[in-house]
Amino acid sequence: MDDRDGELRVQRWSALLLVVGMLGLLPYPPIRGAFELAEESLLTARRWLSRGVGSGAPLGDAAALGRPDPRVVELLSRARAALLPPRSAGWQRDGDFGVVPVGRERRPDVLSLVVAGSVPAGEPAFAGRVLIGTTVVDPRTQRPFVRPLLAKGTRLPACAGVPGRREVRFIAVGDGTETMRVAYPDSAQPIREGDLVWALDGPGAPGGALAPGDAAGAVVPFVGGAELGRIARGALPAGSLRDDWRVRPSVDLDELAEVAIRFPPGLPGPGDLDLAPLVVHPTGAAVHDGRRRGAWLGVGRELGVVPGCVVASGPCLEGVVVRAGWRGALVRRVDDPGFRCRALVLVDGRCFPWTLEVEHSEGERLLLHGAPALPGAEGALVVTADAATGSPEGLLLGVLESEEGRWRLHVEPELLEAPRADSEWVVHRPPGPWSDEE
Amino acid sequence: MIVLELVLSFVAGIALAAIEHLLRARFGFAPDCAAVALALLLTGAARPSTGVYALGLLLGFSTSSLDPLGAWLLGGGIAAAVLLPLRDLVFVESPGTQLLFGLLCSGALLAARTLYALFSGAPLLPFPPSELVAPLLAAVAVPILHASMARALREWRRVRERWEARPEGGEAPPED
Repeated sequence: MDDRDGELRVQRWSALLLVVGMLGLLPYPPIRGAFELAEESLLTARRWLSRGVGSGAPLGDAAALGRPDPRVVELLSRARAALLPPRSAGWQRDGDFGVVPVGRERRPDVLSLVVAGSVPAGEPAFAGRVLIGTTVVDPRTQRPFVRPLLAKGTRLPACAGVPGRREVRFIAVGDGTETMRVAYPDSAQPIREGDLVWALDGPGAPGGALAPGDAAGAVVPFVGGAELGRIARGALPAGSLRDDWRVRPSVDLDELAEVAIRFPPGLPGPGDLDLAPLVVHPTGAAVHDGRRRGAWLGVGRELGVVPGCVVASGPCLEGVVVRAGWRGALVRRVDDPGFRCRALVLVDGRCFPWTLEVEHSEGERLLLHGAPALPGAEGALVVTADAATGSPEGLLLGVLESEEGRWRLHVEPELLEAPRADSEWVVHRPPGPWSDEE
Repeated sequence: MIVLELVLSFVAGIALAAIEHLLRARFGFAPDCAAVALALLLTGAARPSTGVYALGLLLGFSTSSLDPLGAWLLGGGIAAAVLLPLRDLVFVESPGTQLLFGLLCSGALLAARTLYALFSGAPLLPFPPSELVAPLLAAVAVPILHASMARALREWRRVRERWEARPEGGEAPPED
């Protein structure tokens, strides 16, 4: 009987491992959280067992290292200059405009935003002088998005014609199509095809999301004067006795890379994150499986290094922290197969958001999964996008190259070398109590 | 006792992963040490503590890897679920069987990693012909290590028997 019990126990552990292993495949957050906790505890245990490896002490001044290249910063600020609405228009009110990348979902009723932090609800979203819509926060997922003016049910007082000479007031109504309907036009002046259309501040903000002006009663323009588009003739049946005027937006949603949104005082914009850089020596490249590319850091959660923190070498991205325990963190390097990060592609003075994914490395070139959905990306510079988890904007990734329909990222050869004991890397940590330690 | 066995095997897993890394850095190739260790456990004497040792080894290896912990556990589970019933059908003391067990253990660990990559939507790891070296070396290492360990055990027993058989109060007999 004892032998049989022992035999059963021997067989049972394989089933247990199988079940636990399969549980890890499930996409449920509590299960994922439990696995992450176990992985980080094991990392801490490992670090505790090998305390002699690497000091983990922060080194010197981080200010000079790991900062984006000033030329990249200049390129980014030039790309944003055209996107930010003019200060003279008065739409700024208090707070500041921040540039937020647009996601993949671009429908007349939803324009998704790629932003890690929070975005204020009810704020107008601009592309330069052009009003795109208003921000909304999904009550279920808490994800912010822009409800374009084209969304069904949107009403906005507008004016068409030549400013100061011939102005026709009407209500621009979104009906879920590619253009807005012109409703209740002032019949004193005629509307002509191609007329410029601009917004007026009415008793309610676009979509009724927010009252114009601030609570103190100061009169400030909310969206008044913002460009909406041009008048176009609608498609009415032949023989119709009246004109059906529509407003064709100045900016096509599919071509939109980023939008400018006002962030009220106290709510940091996407570019205002004050990350805490920390200079460290990588303690080795010891990662099992020769096909993977990783590195160890001798610092961890005790100094605020958490998964998602970006690791830079000079102005270039080295990798991203994937696991962090006590005095130890595991970094996934740029050339590791499956490496994924949010990036910005700089093309013709504009920057487009893109999620870059590496398939595998081919020497100095990294074969990428998928392709950037924008024209003329050949030779474009790819830099990191900012994230609240510890990613500054503008760290260099490489230059895009296309060959036989596949996209490759040409990176600096030094970036792919194994870390040496004297290499100085910078970990960008999210703001926290440790920010002022150095 | 179980905790001690778990800690020991965890440390062994970390050490074996480090040895594999050193070998790869020195020679450019190395056997899949996780598969070797797992195959040695599965071809050894069936004991209730085998599962604890296997778990500790897999946990230790997972700390040296970018692969998720679940992939390691699933790999170990697949290997054990396939190979433990196979023990009743084959002669595990045979070098050929041990070689096959080493190869299958390496395959199981690879399959689990592939499954995790597929489920997470990540691209599959490239598998050039040079990558066959690790599983093949692992397969070859299992019977060699078994033979070496059996011989070492035999020698140890012989020395111990001679020591116990030494005359009362006298010195240990000289070894020949």
